[in-house]
Amino acid sequence: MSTLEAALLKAEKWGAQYAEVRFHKNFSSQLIMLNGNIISNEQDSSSGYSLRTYREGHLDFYSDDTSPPEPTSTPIGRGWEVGVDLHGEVGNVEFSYEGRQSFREVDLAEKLELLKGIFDQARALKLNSKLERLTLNYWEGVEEKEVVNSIGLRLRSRVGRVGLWYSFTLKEGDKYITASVEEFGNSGGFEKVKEWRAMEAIAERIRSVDDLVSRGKAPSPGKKDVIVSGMIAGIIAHESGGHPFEADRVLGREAAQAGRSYLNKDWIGRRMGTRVLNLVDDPTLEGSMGFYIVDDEGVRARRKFLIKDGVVNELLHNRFTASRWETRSNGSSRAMDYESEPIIRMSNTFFLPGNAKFEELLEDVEDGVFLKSYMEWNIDDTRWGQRYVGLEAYEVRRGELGDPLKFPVLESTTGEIYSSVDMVDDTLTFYPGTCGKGEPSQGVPVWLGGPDMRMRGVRVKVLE
Amino acid sequence: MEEQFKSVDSYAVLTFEYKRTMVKFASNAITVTQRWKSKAYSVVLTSGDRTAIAGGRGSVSDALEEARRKLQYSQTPFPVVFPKDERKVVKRITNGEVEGAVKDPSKVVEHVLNSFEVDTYGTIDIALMSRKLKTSGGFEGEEENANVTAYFRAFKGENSGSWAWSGNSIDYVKLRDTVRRATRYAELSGEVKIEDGRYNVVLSPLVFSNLIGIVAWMSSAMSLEVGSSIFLGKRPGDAVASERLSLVDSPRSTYFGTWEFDDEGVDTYNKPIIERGKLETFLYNRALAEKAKRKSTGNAGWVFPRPWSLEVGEGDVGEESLYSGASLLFNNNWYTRMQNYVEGTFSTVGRDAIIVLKDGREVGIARRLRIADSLRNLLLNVESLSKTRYPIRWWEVETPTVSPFALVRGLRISRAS
Repeated sequence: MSTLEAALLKAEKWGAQYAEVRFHKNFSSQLIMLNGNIISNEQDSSSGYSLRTYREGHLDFYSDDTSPPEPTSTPIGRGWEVGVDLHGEVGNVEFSYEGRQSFREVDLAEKLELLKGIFDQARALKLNSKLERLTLNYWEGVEEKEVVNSIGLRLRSRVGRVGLWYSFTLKEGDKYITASVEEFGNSGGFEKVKEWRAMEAIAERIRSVDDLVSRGKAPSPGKKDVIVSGMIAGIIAHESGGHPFEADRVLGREAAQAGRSYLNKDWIGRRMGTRVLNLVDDPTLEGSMGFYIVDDEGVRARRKFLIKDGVVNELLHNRFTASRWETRSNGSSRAMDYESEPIIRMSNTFFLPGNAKFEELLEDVEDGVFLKSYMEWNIDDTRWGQRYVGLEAYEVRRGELGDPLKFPVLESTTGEIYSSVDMVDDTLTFYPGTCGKGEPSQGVPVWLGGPDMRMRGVRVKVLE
Repeated sequence: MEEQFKSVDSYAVLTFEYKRTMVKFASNAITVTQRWKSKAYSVVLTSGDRTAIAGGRGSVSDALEEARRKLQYSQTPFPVVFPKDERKVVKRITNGEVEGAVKDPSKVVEHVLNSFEVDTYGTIDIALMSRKLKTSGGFEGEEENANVTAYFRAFKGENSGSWAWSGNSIDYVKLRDTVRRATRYAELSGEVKIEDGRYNVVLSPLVFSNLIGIVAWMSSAMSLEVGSSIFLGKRPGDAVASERLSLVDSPRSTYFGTWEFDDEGVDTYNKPIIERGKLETFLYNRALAEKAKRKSTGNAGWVFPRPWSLEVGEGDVGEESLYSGASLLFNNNWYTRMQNYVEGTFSTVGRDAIIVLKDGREVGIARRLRIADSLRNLLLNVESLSKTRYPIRWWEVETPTVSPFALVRGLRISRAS
């Protein structure tokens, strides 16, 4: 009997109606380069054990870095949970996704050369403004888990992940503009880095922001047609589509921290957007940041249609919310590390593409805005009122892209946005993200994405 | 492990141990009780102008080996140094009641549950922490701390209120007061529509702590290096805020656990970052201080100097006296996002009660508002501060901060509609 199985047996003898024991190891390494110089070369390694038990309405979580914990709790007050869904596909599951080229096989010198090359190329760009700073943050890591639970799960998994985040500061006169971009991130190995073509992409973005600085003009405020890129569609999908569909949030379990949701159980089957809106959460995409095939409670992962043809279809569930609503968990339970309780999380959340071409989105827009990337966004705690400030943005005049616009603001509600999308194109782009939730806060890797989408007649504001 | 240090010029090992219990509440019930026993470490190796750092939990040896492998590639303009320093520092603040509550939180939990008057959510977090530093320069330091953090969010219908408290002991009166304040805000009613525009706004300590915390991080010398600071181009002595505003980095706080030494073994001390509106100092570790030709401020971070805990200087008026000059009071906020770190432009979303004020009285609640302005304007337009200050730490305020209520003139308010 393994150490984990022995711990599970103890928890069951103690009286747990449901228990799970997890060994969880994360290894990550990070290089930060500022203007071609290393300012940080760090690595982080954590490994340890957790135990979660459910008994008589009480959920208890324990973690210890040296050995599997044993349950000690005596009930205090009233427990919030009402039951646990004990169905689901379980058994021995083993999966590994570390790509073709492991991070260890690649010399650190090669990684440094890559970052240095990006900086050198950026420095050589002919710009109207001055590139004051370019910070490159490269990270790689491997997450390893073993989970056993009282439904018979015996899970082993290893997933590699790699990403590059960057920020730059341009200066013109006495004015600065800073931009931070999270653009590259995959599960897999070092081969993904070569697929990014990061050097070209970063140079293009710097050029584009430089163009904005030198000849961008102020947008005019008012109701307009707004086309958002896959990057902005992705953040909308995640913030106003994914989060409010987390069943634990809908039930109020996270109300003091990550907030509540605008929807409730009665919204299933209700129209909340136009027919072109299809929103999914899909952990099964190989190469994605949110990739897994079995969740941390031993439920097989699958694509979830959160919104289908504009209608609310299903929520994200774990075994506990599923029990409360007399349904089945759809495999949405994840923990960041051994010190974290598994909770309902998104994986890869995105709007599905349609059939239109980008030119068709532009075609009959008389006076509109194209938001290509963003510099700021936020959303209220019910996930209804939201705001996106454009970084790269362009006017759309009589069906064509025009001059760059300085920082148009889309501040609207989920209802208005979802009911104003009348066309989506046939592209699908993904961006990496770290999704925060829980107490203590857990950041888990996700992808967010979508096609270019057109909204009719939404209010555009300007910054003073 | 000593073997692994042989080929390097200097090194330090920092360990952080904690025992911690957190109880989370929803709808006046317990959603989960979480218990942790953990030991984290961080190791830095240096050789000439090269520095590599390894951190983690669990086994140190593998990570150390990896750091050694990396060292040859880790040339940096900011190498960490550990000069000869053979001091021994030991400070233990023990608290038997906190220690007991980590093991068995039932008395605290019962007290909190009995305090709930309406539908209430929240968290109580009780922790014992110890921190040790050993450097190749000979420094050995060890300290222990206790910490209690609580925050609650109360709902009455669609309206909500929240409040937070943090300290180094279990204070049953403060816990009950925290629940009561959240409840009082939730009980306000009567919706008033507020349009986009500039308003005089009272920011509660929750909101002010969140925003001032970003300002404090921007005072880190590394924030200046990477260009993520409104203080870029500023020097000590420059006016950066209203004369009414003072901000102190406060590692020797009486409110929260004290920190005796930084990650390089330098003694910590309380220091103004901003004093009566003037920039006093940036926060330095040794490498960044050397570049600026100054002394370390005891805020290392081997790479990124950081504030320990913060205190905003007290004002001279009662809390409700601030109302007469204001149109809105923000009880809480979240999702503060910067558009432009150097210019300091940001927006943050109002959360819980946004109270509409008229002639010094509460006349209703507004919804879906955000503050969308710049940190520079915020600092310069602080008009008045309350005498009473509150020790705050919660989900959106990670650096413990003692803050008064603040009246800020002409903040730009934006509404999602």
